[in-house]
Amino acid sequence: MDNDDLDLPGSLADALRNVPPADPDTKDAHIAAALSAWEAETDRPSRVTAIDSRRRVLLSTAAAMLLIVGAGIGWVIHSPRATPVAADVSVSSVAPATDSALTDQTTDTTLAKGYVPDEYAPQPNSATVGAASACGFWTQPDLKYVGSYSTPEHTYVLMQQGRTIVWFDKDTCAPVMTVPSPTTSAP
Amino acid sequence: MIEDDASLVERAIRGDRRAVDRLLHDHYDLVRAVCHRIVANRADAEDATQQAMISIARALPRFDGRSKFSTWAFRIATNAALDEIRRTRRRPRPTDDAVIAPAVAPAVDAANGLVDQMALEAALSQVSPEYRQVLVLRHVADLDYAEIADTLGLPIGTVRSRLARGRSQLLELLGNSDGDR
Repeated sequence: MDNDDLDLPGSLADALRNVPPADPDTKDAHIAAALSAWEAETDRPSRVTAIDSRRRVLLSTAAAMLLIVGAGIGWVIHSPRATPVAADVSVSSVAPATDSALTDQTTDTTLAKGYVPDEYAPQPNSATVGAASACGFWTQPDLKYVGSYSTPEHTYVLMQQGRTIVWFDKDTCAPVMTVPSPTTSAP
Repeated sequence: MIEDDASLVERAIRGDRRAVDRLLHDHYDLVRAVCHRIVANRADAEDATQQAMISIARALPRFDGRSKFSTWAFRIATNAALDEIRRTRRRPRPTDDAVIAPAVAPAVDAANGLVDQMALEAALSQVSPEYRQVLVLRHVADLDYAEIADTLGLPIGTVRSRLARGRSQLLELLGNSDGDR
């Protein structure tokens, strides 16, 4: 049971409760701002869920691509027909190619290479080349074009950076995720 | 149709905007009163009220119903008010601040027992915030000791001692302003 002796005298308690009312416009503004904040908050969980499921799709796709690429590398290395390309895989001094070099010489060995030999390198199309150029990737010497991947909603440009492959959103140029590169040698 | 908080909260958590609007309207006056009395400065109290309302709305989807909605809302309002106090301590206060009471009127009118609001606000602003918040939750939000303890995360014994000290401080300040004249 709460001890009433600790309470303020009645008149003082009443005065404490008697806060002058809010201006109606101020009250409306406060509540409107709160409702906007609520709407923003309730939108966020669905976006997070969508992002999480998108990440799951991308991760599983990345894993599948790595398996395919890794198998391709293994086939090339062990195939008697293939010329030794291991040395080329570790090239680190290839200058970034220009857009025209890429679009005009899609099989040229002067293409900025990732860890994949030329004959198995993904061929950039005009959309991904343009995106990589617009995002400034060709000006970054530590980034090497690997390939692209498209879903119905997005297209991603894959660039190798050190021992990782970074997936960039074609439209925003923002990195979406990073996966380890299957090669043991850095580009 | 009169709807209680529990059913409004249930609808609000399911995303019913009108339920959220209704909850915010129903609790606005008390939330504002709590902020005003804890902050003890009218201009800053409006900022605290705004922040409290936004925080309540943003946290509403995560309300777990372990306490009454009003108790939960008062906890958020108390935190918003204390945050505002901390913010305002870092800047100089204006000389024409509304909490500075005129030195002519006694806090309590001897004839009719009415309390001068400005004197009350001036005295309240001088009570330590940790005692002030307990006084406000008790007398403005009308919470019992257990609810205050739950709101502030304090043992009930601490609530009682702070209530006693806050009461003593406030009465002394009001008594002094009366006795000085």
